[in-house]
Amino acid sequence: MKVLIVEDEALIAEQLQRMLKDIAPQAEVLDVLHSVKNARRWFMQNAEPDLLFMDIQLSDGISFDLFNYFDIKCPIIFATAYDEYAIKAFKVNGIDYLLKPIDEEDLIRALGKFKALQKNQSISTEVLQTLANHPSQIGRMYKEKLIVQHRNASIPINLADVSLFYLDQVIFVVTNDGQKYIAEQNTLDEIEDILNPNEFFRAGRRQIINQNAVESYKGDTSGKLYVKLRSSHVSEVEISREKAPVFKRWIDR
Amino acid sequence: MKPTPKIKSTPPAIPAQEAGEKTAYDSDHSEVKYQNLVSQLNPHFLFNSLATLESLIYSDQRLAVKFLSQLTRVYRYVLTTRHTKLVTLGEELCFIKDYADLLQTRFGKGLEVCLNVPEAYHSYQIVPTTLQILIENATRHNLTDPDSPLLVTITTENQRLIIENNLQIKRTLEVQNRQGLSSLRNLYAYFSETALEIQQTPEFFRIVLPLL
Repeated sequence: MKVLIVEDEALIAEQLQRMLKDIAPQAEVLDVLHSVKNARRWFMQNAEPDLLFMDIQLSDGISFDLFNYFDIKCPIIFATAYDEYAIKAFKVNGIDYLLKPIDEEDLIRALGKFKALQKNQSISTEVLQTLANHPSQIGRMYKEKLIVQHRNASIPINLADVSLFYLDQVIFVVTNDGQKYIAEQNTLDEIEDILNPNEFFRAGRRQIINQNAVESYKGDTSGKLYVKLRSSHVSEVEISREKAPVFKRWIDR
Repeated sequence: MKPTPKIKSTPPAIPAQEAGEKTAYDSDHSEVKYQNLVSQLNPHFLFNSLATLESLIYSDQRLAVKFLSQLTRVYRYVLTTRHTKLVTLGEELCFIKDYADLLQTRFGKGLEVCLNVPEAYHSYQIVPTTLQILIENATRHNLTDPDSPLLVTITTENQRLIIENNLQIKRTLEVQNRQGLSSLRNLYAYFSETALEIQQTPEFFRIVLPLL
């Protein structure tokens, strides 16, 4: 059983590891991550664990935000110091949670639940999605339009019509019909923040591509992927070996 | 800095109810006291500290004992000063050292609290737990990430105390609360003609506190 721990306080994470060693010696802790940022990086580069332990308030934000970036399917046991708010959400959704300091009995119970779930295949992903999208928790809305400046006029562009964003000194916005505009944003990170990650993919340091614009893709022996877009502007977008599995999961939804 | 005539420099332990009828001062004072209790007994602070203590009991008993006595002293200070109008800065700093150590043990490299207050300032007076409220605010609203640590510094300048931190706001589920800060400001207005100043730039958040 491969376990991932997302907890911002190192000593508390250590204690959880210690307890797991006692109670579930078969558990292998893959990593302990202390921030949303690190967890994002981890999920980009690794396959999902079998079980995820997750604190809610992390040193740089809220762990629920991960669900906006990844379609995490593995069961999750939340651990929190005290958060009536969150606890209510879990109660509604029937996901297990632990209160810190973690009681051994509670951990045993939670792991028992995990084993039962494993038998019955998987936890409902809809439940997680509901949690992630719960309006009182996150309620994140993505933009539908992007305003660009062109010949002294502001032009609203439907994001659905954008095939590609790419960075070359400035950020270019390429639409499906081959038009090219310059975005007002300075970094692709800023662009990425307003995009729905289900529709757009950060292909590398310089490109973000729209799922609908992908015509085909092929791999080479090194594990890299080359994506062909419908837009005539760019012939191919290269995807690194590390990102290739994430891309495949994203495109095959 | 002289106290305003409204409140005479009272010996520190006069219960609020003896100060006479209910005034705006009382209301601000109880608001701050309430905020102290809420933040001190902040369940996150308490339970995370207990979880840390549990871990230390296994990994480092010596540190566990130290952590426990600091936690005890912090709670005792909050309880014993809750009816006190003013304490000396020296007393408050002594408490803040314990409080900052507790946070430091929990956050590791994600937090640094730097106290740089000359001895000569220690006999000035301050509203109890002011500094704790300010540090707690800083950790609650800002990243405490080892890759991007939060640095809180407490220094002095022309008979005033400067509490400053780098601004790196994080998203939180807790309800944002500026009530604590504004009651604190109102409260200081009773003691001093110099107002408590809040200064904010994109990079820094800074409180300038009149010393009494």
